[in-house]
Amino acid sequence: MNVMTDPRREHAKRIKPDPIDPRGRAYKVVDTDFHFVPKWDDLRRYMPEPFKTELTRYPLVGSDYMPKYATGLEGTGQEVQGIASNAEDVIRVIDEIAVETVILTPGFQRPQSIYNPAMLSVVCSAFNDYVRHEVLPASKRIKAEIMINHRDPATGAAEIRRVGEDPGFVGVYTEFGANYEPIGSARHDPIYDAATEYKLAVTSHIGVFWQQFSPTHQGTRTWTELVGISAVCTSMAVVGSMIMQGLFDKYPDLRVIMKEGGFWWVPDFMARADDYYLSHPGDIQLVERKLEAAERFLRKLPSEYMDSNFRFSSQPVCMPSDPNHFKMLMEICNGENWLLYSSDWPHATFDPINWVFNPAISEQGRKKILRENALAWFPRSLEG
Amino acid sequence: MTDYIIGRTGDFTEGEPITIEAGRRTIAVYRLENEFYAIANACPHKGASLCEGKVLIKEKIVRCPWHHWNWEIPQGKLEADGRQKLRTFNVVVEDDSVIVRI
Repeated sequence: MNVMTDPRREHAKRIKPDPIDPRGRAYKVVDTDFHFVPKWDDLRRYMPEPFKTELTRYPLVGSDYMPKYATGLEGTGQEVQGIASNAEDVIRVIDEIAVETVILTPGFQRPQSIYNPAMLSVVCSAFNDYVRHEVLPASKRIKAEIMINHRDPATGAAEIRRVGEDPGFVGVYTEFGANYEPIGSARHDPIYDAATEYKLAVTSHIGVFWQQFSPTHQGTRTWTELVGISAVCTSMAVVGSMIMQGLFDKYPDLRVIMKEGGFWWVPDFMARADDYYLSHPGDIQLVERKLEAAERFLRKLPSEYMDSNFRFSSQPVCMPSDPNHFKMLMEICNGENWLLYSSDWPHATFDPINWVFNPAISEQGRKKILRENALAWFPRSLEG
Repeated sequence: MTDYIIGRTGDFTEGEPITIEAGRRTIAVYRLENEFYAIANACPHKGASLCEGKVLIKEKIVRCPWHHWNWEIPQGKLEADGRQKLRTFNVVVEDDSVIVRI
């Protein structure tokens, strides 16, 4: 008897494993952050001259050296899982990663780093036109965010109004980063006027994570400092500017989604903001919106705006090594209610649904994170 | 203890794993510089299939396809922090057959 015929031994079955937890397919998952990168020449078809002729490639202004050193990969780490360039690609990928409905994030990262406002506006409009004419009509499973020049609020608002009637657009895309002004200040109100008028959520997504360009972050050297840590600080700054400068007293129905800015810091922010505010509220009356409304104080405690006006995309969920701490964090961060599942496909930080099946999350919480929270949060329907 | 027969040594290409189902486990079996190794296929970080990851043959490392965690295949240790562990399994070769012993 040889090895191959020995009955005490089993012949192993060779397989091609699917790493996506198969239980996820039953939840009709909504993915709130999926990066869509049309072919540049497809966008050029929607550009006016002289840009159509002159803008032969995406004006990439960021540096790629940091992710290269950190990840061992060439490029920016933004194509690790692949590229989705058209509707067919999107449907194929979301089927693979067990997602039912996807919200496309404009995949040209760092758009706000294009400092030529005319050029940026052309890129935004071409992206929005390609999406509404050639992607959204392909499937009701695909929704998208409107790409705008948020540095120029009047132009951004005009773009929202130009394409905002299309029901496939469910949000307005903006970015936070070290060289952006936090968008809570009143000069951005034209964007909020348009977003609320068209019942669109506003998302603030990590951008320009080459934060060493900012004096605040010029001492950084590593990818973890830049993307992992500094981005959290700038995300908090955006939330702080929105709350403390009275954005939600002027636009109480405005719904914001913070993307890729971390989440576990939220309880600290809430306690800290309340404490500072209650001790030092005297300057609230001096910000533009409060002067306009002749109000001295916020209408609620800073922490109370978190539930009424913010949700957070989940990726990347950074698990503490002690499972009990994960459960505690989820509880004190109200994670089952405030997290919206996001994959961040196809970036190096891709986060599939698997973590949601951690036993620390209740079955009800699982349903909420994977689908129901997103359906309830976006003012426009994700199902139609 | 159960022996799972994977196949003949000639079935293996350097650095290209054969992935098997062994009971409830999914295991990736590698041939690296004529030695055989077996590791749990799911990356402990987020569950990616390590068998889809790039293999650095000389270093005997598999790089997770999702987040680039570099696993040292023989010891099942993370390159950046050896305290992070990946399950490894014994592999024996008998009569030119590659066998994973669990």
